[in-house]
Amino acid sequence: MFSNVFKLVIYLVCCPVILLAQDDAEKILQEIDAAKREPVLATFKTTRLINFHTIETVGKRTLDFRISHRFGTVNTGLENLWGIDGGASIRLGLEYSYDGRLMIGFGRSSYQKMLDGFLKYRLVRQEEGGGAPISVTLFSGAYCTVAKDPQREFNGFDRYQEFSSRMSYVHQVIIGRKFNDRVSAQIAPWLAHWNQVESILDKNDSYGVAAALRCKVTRSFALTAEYAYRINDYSARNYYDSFGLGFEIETGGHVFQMHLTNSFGLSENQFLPYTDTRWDDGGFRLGFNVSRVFTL
Amino acid sequence: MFMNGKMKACFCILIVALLAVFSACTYDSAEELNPNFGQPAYCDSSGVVSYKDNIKPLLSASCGVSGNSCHGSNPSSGIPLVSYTDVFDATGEQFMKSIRHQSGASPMPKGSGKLSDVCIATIQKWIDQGKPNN
Repeated sequence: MFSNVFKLVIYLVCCPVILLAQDDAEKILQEIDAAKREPVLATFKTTRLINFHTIETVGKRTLDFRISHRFGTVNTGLENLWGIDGGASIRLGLEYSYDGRLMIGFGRSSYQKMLDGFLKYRLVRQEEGGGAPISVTLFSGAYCTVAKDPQREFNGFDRYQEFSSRMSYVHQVIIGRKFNDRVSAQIAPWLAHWNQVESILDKNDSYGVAAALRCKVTRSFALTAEYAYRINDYSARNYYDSFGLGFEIETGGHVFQMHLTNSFGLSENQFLPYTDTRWDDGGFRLGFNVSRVFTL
Repeated sequence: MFMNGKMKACFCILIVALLAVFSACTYDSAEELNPNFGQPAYCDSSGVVSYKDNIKPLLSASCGVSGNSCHGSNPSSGIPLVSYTDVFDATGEQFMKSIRHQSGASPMPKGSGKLSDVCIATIQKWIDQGKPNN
């Protein structure tokens, strides 16, 4: 009798504790699971690979100052030091993120006197330990050329008489994955829209798929490649797929990227649909990007 | 699921920004803006207007300048537009009123529509140039 009462007392006293312990255990297990799901870092080293945007955004409260430069084509020969002498295009840009996920950037490139502004959002982050297997980043850019119509005097009309004629847009969904410590890749369907095209036969919208690959060789050195395939037929003129090969070196807060690419323009609305030189006849050029980040 | 309140707010801002961006889309081409687009090559008032390249072919195409036609060498209208001198003499104030379909003149070309603005501007420019035989 006494032993039964004792058992009951013990049970009543301990039961909530046992239940609590069970709750705690579940909680702890969940926490362990969550702790295991670390976001994968540095799929790419910076927000650009060669020309293309990567899935990366800059870190929290970080300002990125970027200088990109493209020389003339290699087939201009020794006299022009294979393009280094002339026909350069340059972009200066300032890009910032407050929370490390939503990033905003502005820049100006010399080719077509193009102002650009973009928003980039890291929708999904690749995670280790059972989380998302890929990263997804949304990109939206708006571009405005501030050039005067060079044919204005000759033609007797200004093609930019409406402000909207200066605008163009690019949207991308960038899907990337870091496969291991060395290899990262991404694929990005893109849509470009120019409010005004040259010919009435040209289409204002062009679209395609861009792919990029990064292979890390040493801690601070990596090889890079990118290629943009254009799907629709949007112009009677000849344009070519943008293709680039290069390497990048990281030193402290700097990332230095050097490459060969057939694209001259430095903003997405230019190099995705309107790359007008090709690799097989030497229509590629040397270029570099320098990125310096500041934590604000 | 993977979004907290702040991220949702950011996402909403992004969507609104995207909508704003999309709503500004237009579908134009530089070619369409050109007033000369779709016009015969001789109707072009942008550079120096030439009698030989602009005015003569324009009149030939629109005014019936052969033989017994409206403005031929033996014109039914009484006003020939065949030689340079014919055209020099005819292209006065009345002529411009007539091709502009203004009151006080018979609208020309007869039986077909009014000439396009660019074609009229081409003739006007040639007159303003002093009607050169160029």
